[in-house]
Amino acid sequence: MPPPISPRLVSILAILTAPLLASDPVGDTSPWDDAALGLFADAHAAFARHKNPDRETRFGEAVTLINLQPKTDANLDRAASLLNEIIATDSTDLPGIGARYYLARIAQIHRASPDPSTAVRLYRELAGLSSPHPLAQRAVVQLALLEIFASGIDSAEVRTRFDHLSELGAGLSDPSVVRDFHLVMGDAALRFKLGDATALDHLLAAERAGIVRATTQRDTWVRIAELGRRTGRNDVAIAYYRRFLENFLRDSRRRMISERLASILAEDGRANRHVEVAR
Amino acid sequence: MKREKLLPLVGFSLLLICFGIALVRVFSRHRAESNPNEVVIRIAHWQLESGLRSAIDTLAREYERGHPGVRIAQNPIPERIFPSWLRTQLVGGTAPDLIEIGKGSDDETLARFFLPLTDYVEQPNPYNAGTSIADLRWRDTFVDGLAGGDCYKANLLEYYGVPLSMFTARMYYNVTEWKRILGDTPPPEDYDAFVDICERVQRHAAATGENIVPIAGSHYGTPWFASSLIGGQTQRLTQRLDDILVIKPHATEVALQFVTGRWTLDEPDFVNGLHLARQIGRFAQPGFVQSSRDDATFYFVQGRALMIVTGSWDAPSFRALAPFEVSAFRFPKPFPDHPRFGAGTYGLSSEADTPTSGAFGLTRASRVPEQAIDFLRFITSKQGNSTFSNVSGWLPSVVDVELPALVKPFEPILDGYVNGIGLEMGGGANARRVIAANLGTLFDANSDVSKLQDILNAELPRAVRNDLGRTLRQFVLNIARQDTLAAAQAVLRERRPDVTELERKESELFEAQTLQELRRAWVMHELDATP
Repeated sequence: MPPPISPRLVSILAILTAPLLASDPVGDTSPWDDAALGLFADAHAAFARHKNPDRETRFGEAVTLINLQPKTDANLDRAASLLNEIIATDSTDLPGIGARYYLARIAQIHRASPDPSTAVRLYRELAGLSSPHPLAQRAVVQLALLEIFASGIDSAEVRTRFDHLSELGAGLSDPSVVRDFHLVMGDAALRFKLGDATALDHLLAAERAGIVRATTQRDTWVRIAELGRRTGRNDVAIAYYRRFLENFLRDSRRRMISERLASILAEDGRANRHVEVAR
Repeated sequence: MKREKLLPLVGFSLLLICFGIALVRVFSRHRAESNPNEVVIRIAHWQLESGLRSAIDTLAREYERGHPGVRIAQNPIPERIFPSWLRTQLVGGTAPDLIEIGKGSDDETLARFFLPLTDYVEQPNPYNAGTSIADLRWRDTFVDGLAGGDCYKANLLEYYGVPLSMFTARMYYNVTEWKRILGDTPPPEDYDAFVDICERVQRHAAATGENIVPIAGSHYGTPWFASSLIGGQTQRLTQRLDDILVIKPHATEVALQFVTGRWTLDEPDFVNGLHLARQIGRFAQPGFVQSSRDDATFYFVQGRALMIVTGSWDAPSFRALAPFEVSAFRFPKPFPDHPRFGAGTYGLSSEADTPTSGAFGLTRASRVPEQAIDFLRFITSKQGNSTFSNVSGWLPSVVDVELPALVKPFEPILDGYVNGIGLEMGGGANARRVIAANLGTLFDANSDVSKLQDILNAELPRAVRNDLGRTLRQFVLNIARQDTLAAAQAVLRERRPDVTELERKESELFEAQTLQELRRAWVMHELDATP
């Protein structure tokens, strides 16, 4: 029986061959698991190895290509071509909608020279489907980001776009998309000074849809409370200040929030009354 | 034998001896690791401070006593070479079981070489049984709920680290000299009392001819202290600038508002902060702005300065190096009733957002992952973390741990106000470079604060704008990566509808991405509107 190979020797060989091992798979997982862990090269290699790729495999190859390093125009073109192949078969089924969304993302985010007008066109087409698919609905969130925050438009145009998108957003149903849409609209209403009451309504809608991250939650609760205070909706302010204090025991805002809560309670003259959380 | 022939022989012999020692060490380690009756848990970190090494050593021996057949091997690696050492070990498959994360461990490295700890941190820590935190999830037993530092990776949606400590910055003082020069004078509670103490030390030095200054300054600690003083003065200004009503504006927003002219360096509160910093500067040794961190440390431990500003991580080193008793107090700042510097401040600044630090991750290469996790649970239990704090002199990371007397001065202040705008200007490299290069002007006896204002007014807007450009590029990189991660989460959710966790992960990822896109959109909008 040959002697076992020293781990030291293995280590030295591994260092020397590190570049070759860069796409060593993590374990017994699907390419999608690798992609979810950020191991894009591994996932892409697995997708690309398929001899007879189905539409989902093509989709996997495309969405991993867009983040494959080095990021090249050739990779992005190849990804766009794969996505177009999926769309050519059917542009309204689930893979088709996913492909259309990521085609817009390539134009908006991934190209070295972004093409926002193409992205807007693709998102509008997706939003026009009125599909329940989350990625079709997410196009409305992206439209809000691209159209309201576009450079070089005057405040009247911002208002027009905001109102139009508010109508478009009314048809959204996927909870995560609804939340993100209202977070964007609430923020836009504050930044472009489109009305505190409007901003408050949007942030309350985001909160109802279900905020997941603690950091978003604490900021949103503070904003809702502050807007409640500014718009005279003291019940809302009191409820959300209290929620914040009950849930976030270590936050540098606690002292200021406690003081603002005490001030409103004193103002309302109802320090001992229980206030239901406004929902 | 002639000298010319002897020298190479001596050199060659030394080489052979070194090679022999190295061989013995390698093979003895290999033999020890091959012992089938012993489980070895290896833990590596870059904290070479004696206090931390002793603390881990104490905990290791304690753990070994309770777990016969288990041995803990500690491997401290110099900070400078840690990232390359880490990469080599990970790629070579020889990485220790537990490794401190935060240097050289980006998302891809963590995903590829470390195990997610999410399932573990969602369960109670069994070593907390019988304590006030017995029923809490492991992650909730940490003061920041594992939300800060390097523990939770927002892009990967998993926990990868469990922390041992946290850090605050304080004014350290030489207790022996303090008593000799100042008698029973307690540490100052407010700014005027602090100035009075500094002036008394200066008078004492002048009267006796002793070589002692009130504060050991350096280009390491001074910007920090100056920024803290300015931040106290701008608390009210910061709230006036809070357009999006979060009470605690993000650094990027503050920097953007500076570039767009929403506020300037000529704001009276900001200028007051500069005056305060200049006042304190006259209590440091001459030419302190050119002094390094080590220079200032020598000044302090040699007894040539009564005080020094630095982080709580230095406490064990000071206690080991200084031939005198060391204690600390928080930076004294003016209160709102101060006649000259009260207008812009609300009062004490809160340190409630201080994140935990010194997080350890579990490598995929570990041959004993369950035992390694068990040791991690042990050292971050209420009892274990208390031992850690007692031995290391560092703050604990676990809630309800009683602070040792030596650590008490570093306890974060929870009941305070949100700090204001300091000198960070968004924290970008260009802004830092401009400030570091010119801060000395603030302490120039032949000028006043207006000289620094003029320089910063001329140079800082461009620097901060460049930093924001870099921030935008970073946003794009992150958002782009999130696109593929989100696609993968979406497909996995459709494939495994029974795994409810996948729905939460997908939703969380989109929420994080949307908020980054939102901030990016606003920064681009504002920069485009500001030539």
